[in-house]
Amino acid sequence: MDNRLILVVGPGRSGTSLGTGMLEALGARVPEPRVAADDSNPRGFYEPRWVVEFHTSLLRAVGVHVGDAQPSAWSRAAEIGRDDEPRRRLEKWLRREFRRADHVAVKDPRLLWFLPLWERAASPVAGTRYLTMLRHPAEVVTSQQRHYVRWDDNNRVAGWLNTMLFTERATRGSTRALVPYDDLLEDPPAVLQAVCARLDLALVERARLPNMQAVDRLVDPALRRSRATWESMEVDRRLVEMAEEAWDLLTKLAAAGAEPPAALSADLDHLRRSYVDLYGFAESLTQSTRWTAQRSTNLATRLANRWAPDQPPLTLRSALGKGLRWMRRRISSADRARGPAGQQR
Amino acid sequence: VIRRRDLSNLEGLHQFDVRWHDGDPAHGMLTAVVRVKNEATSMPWVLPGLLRATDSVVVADNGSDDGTPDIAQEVAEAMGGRDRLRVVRYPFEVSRCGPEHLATPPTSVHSLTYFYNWSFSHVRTSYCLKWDGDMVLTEDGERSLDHLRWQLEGVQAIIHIPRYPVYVESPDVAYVDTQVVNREPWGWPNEAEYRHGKGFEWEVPIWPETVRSVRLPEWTCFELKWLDADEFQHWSTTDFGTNLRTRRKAREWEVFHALQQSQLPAGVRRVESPGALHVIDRLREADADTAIGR
Repeated sequence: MDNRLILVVGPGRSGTSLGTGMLEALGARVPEPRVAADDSNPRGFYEPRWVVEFHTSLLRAVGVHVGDAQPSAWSRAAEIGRDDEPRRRLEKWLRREFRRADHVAVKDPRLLWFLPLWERAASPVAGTRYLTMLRHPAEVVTSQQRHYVRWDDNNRVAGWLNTMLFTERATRGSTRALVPYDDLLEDPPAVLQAVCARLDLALVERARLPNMQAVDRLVDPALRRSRATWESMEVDRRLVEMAEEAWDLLTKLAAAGAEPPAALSADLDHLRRSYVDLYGFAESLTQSTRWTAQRSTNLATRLANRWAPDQPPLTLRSALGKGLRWMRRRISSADRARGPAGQQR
Repeated sequence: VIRRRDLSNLEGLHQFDVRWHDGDPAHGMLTAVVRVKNEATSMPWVLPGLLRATDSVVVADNGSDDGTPDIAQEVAEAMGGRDRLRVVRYPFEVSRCGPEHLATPPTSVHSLTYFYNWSFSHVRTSYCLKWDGDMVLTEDGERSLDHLRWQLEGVQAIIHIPRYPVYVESPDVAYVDTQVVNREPWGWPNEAEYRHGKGFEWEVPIWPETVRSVRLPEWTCFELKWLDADEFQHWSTTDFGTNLRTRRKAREWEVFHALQQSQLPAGVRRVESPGALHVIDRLREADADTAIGR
C-alpha cells in the first residue's frame, strides 16, 4: 500500500504544528478546512476542523480532558475507540482524503487519546506512521500556561507525563519517529530526510525547490527564543524528577533509531508505572476533598428539590446534567468571544 | 523596513559573521558572485564576459591551490576590469554536495549554505547573480545580462538562466548535451528576504513567495566540464539516487563517462573548431540554432 497516513501525536505546544507544517511544505496533504490561526500560533495550527470536532465529541462523551493527567483516562478513551460507529465515520473521512493525495498528515493534540481507533480506521486505506515532537516539558508547560486556559503547574506537568509516556507505549512497535523540536528548528533538511527514511515517506524524494523554500520559510528565528526552566514554575520536586527522567529517556529513544534497546523500553515502562503510582497516591491524599465535593453535589441536589417542589425531583444524574449544560454554555460563549471553536485546551 | 538578520556561525568566528548590505543603486545594478575552488583553467573564459556584462564581480575563493585568485586578477587586469573585481578568501573546508552537506549544520562555517550567504554578503549592488566558476556567458548571454542592468530598475524579479553542459575534449572538440537543460534561478534582488537556506543535497535560494520571474534566452551560458579532469570532486557521493533534484547530476555522470570512453550518448552534439579559434570561443559566438539545434 503506497498511501501513508502520518499521525502527528503529542501534547499541544510541543512543536506539532511546526512538524506538520514541514510535512505539508514537503508535499503531504493536511486536510481542509482547518482551525484558524491566532496569536498563539500565527502560522496556523494545521488542525482539520472535522478531526477536532470528532475528537472533541469523543472526549466529551468519556469525560477526558485533552491534557488529562489521569492514567485511568486511557481506558475510558480506549473504550469509545472500540465502537464501530466512530470507526466507520473516520474511515469514510480518510477515504475521502486519500482520494486527493497519497500522503496525508493529521495533527490534533486530542489525537493521542485515540490511536488504536485511527489505526483500525486507516488499515484498509493507508499505512499508519507516527511522528512525535520532543520539546522539553518545562517549555511545553510554560507555553501551555501562556496560551491555554491556566491549570495548576503541577497538573500541567502531570498531564505532559501522562500523555507522553502512554503515547510512547501506544506507538511502540509501530513505524514511528521521535523528533527533537530544537533539531528540527536548527537543521530541517537533515531531520526531514531522517524522518522520511524512517517512516518510508516519498516526500523528500519528490521535493523540488518550492518545497524546500516553503520548509525554510517555516523556521522563524523567534521560535528558538522560548527557553523556559523549572525555576519559573512551582512544580513539586517529584514531578520535576519524573519529567526530567522521561525527557532523558525519550531523547535517548529518539536517538536510538528504529530498534531501541530493550532496556530503554523497560525503563520507560518502569517510569510509567511510577507515574501511575504517584497519581494514585495523590488521589488517595485528596480523598477528603472528593468526599466534600460529592457531599456538596448531594446537598445542592436536595436544596434544588426543596426550592422547586413543582418541578420533577432532581436526581444526582439530572443535577450533573444541568451543571454540564451550564458549563457548556459558558464555554461556548467564551469560545465565541475568543474566536474559532476548538482552541480551548 | 525589514532587514536581513546577520548570521553568526556555530564556531564563533566573528570575523566570518555574515553582515548583509542591502542593495544600493549607487553601486550599480548587478554583481556576479563566483565561488571557486581550483578553477584556474576556466577563469579566462568565465571572467571576461561577466566583467563586461555586470557592474562588479566578487570571486570567493575557497582554498584553491592552482592559483585561481591570481589568475582571476590577471584576467581582469588584462581586460581593464581590475577595479570591478574583488577577490575574497574563505579559508574553511566546505562540505561537498550530497550526504556530507546534509550532515553539516547550516550555521557552521563548513556548510555550503553558510559559505553562500557569506559570499553574497559582499554584494553592494541592487541585484546579485550566482555564478559558478565553470559557467561561460555566450555573446548573446552577455548582451542579455547587459540589458538587464536597465531592465530591472524598480523591478523585483528572480532571474532564471538556462544552462547547458559542455564537455571539452580538446581545444578543437567539445560536446554539448542538449537533452538536459538546467533553468535554475541565478539572480535576485540584494534585499531583505533574499538569502540561502539549506536544501537536501546543496544550498537553496530563498525569496518571498510572490515574486515574478525573468527568463533569459536559451543559449545564454554553458557549463564547462573538462573531460581530462575530475568534474565530480565537489560531490561526496556518486550515487545520485533517483530523486528529481539529482536527475541532472546522474545524467552528467553518465554522459561524462560515456564520452571518456569515446561513446556519444543520445542528445549530445559534437562541436568542432579546427582553426585557431578555441572550441569554447566558437560556442560563445554561436547562436542557439548552431549550438543546441533550436
